[in-house]
Amino acid sequence: MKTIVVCCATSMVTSTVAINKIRDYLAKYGLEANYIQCKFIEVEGVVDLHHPDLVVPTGSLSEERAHGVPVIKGTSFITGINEEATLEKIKKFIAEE
Amino acid sequence: MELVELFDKDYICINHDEIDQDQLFRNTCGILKERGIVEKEYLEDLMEREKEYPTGLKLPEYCVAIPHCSPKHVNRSVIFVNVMKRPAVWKNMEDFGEDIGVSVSFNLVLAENEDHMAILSQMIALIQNRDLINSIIESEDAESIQNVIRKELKQ
Repeated sequence: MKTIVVCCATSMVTSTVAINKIRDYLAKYGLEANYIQCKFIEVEGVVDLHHPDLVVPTGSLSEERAHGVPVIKGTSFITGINEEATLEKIKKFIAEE
Repeated sequence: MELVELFDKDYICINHDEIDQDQLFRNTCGILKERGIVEKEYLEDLMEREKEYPTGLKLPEYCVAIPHCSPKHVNRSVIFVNVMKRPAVWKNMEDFGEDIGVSVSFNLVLAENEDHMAILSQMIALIQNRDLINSIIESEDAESIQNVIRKELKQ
């Protein structure tokens, strides 16, 4: 199973909202993933330790800080803009071998 | 507390003149501290968080912001609404380098024991409600803003 790191600033609230939305969307297609939640400040350490397949930040995060792991921005889970497109992108990523 | 209870006309401010984020935060926190809602350290918590992790959100017809920070120096919960008739410059949460013009800011002043998840989830829906946000932006007084929000949330 692929691993997604979902991160936010400090409260863990926006990342929880994002995880719930991603999980529900993937479930619709019979897909699953492992989720790791953390703060932006912890991302580099988490990425090095867990080698995730994808990082979804609810904010700005460079691929540099994700140590080369692909990043799909999750701010659409807050603004609603392109939310469906973001979920599709994540789903495609998780579904591919 | 229910989201609807967190909105009150005494915590809604309409700014007609141009105002920058710094002054907005100072004004807001001044009122909150005076009323015992927060401790004096709250202003710095808020400014520091905003600097590191901006809360500006760009939507198709308008930009809003949801400034918030640690509940450490919060005594009671409230959502302080600031309307800026002349949009205030804010950094975009999605792209920290981008400046956007925010028309409504919802300062989520939440105490430790609040259900932060529930409140944020509902706030996400609220900011996406075009008709509601447009009514707020066009409003001329705090009481009508309070009423339009409460009416929408009670539905």
